[in-house]
Amino acid sequence: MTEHSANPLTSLAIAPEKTSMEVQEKGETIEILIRRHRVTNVPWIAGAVIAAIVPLVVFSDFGHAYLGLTDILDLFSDTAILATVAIWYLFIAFFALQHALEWFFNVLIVTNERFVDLDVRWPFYRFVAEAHFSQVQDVSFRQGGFAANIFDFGGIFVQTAGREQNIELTKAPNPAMVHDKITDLVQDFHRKSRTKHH
Amino acid sequence: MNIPILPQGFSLDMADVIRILEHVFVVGFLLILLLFAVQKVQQVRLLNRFLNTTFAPVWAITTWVFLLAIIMLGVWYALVYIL
Repeated sequence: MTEHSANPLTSLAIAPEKTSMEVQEKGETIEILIRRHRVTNVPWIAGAVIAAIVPLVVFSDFGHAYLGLTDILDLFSDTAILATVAIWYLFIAFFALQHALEWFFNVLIVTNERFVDLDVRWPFYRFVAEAHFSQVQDVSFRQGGFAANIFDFGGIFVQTAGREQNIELTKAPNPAMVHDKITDLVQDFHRKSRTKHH
Repeated sequence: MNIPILPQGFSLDMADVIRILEHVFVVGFLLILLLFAVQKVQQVRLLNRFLNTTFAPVWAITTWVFLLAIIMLGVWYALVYIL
């Protein structure tokens, strides 16, 4: 894994440059950083664009003529209407920011020693799970569905021993390749630890 | 409009009621947005600390701009009614 990914907005970064974790140990390097496939952002982007068009339609000639809102809008002051439109766009900005942050920070990080799974959910939820390679029992991927096949995304699942937290990332890009690279890393780790012990 | 709780000599017409509702609506939503924006600034600070990338300043600046936009809208709305 010598190729370095410099793009911070990629959904699959191999040995990402200038990227570090708060929980990173000395000598530990980030080998793979995986986010959900970029196409999974399309629904919220479309939602934000449609929501942004709504005031333009309401205050257009079409809106005045066909939506019958003119009488209702006449009841309110121009300042309140302007403030409401500004608030509407600020809510859209918040919606977009929240989804962008969720996409960017919901990551599965594979280092040369372990998995770190960061989950961020609206509004205040943050969850971090870790699993050392020595605890890993099985790494698998699952790909199913129309969109998953067209855009080549699927779930990566890491099963750990005992009652340890299982690690997973759904809708990861190129799951077969990611699975292959992860198993290579885990095998490398086991080979090195066996050599160390002998 | 006769409202029994109002002191004698005061009266409210429909336009006054609508003005009050406007203020409650705008100020209420601005406060909700302000709360969200402050939370985002703090959340991004924590997340950038956990996962530090070259994109970290962009998230920090975006959340601060969002917070400032809300504060500026609030200031503008207050000034329109004060001045």
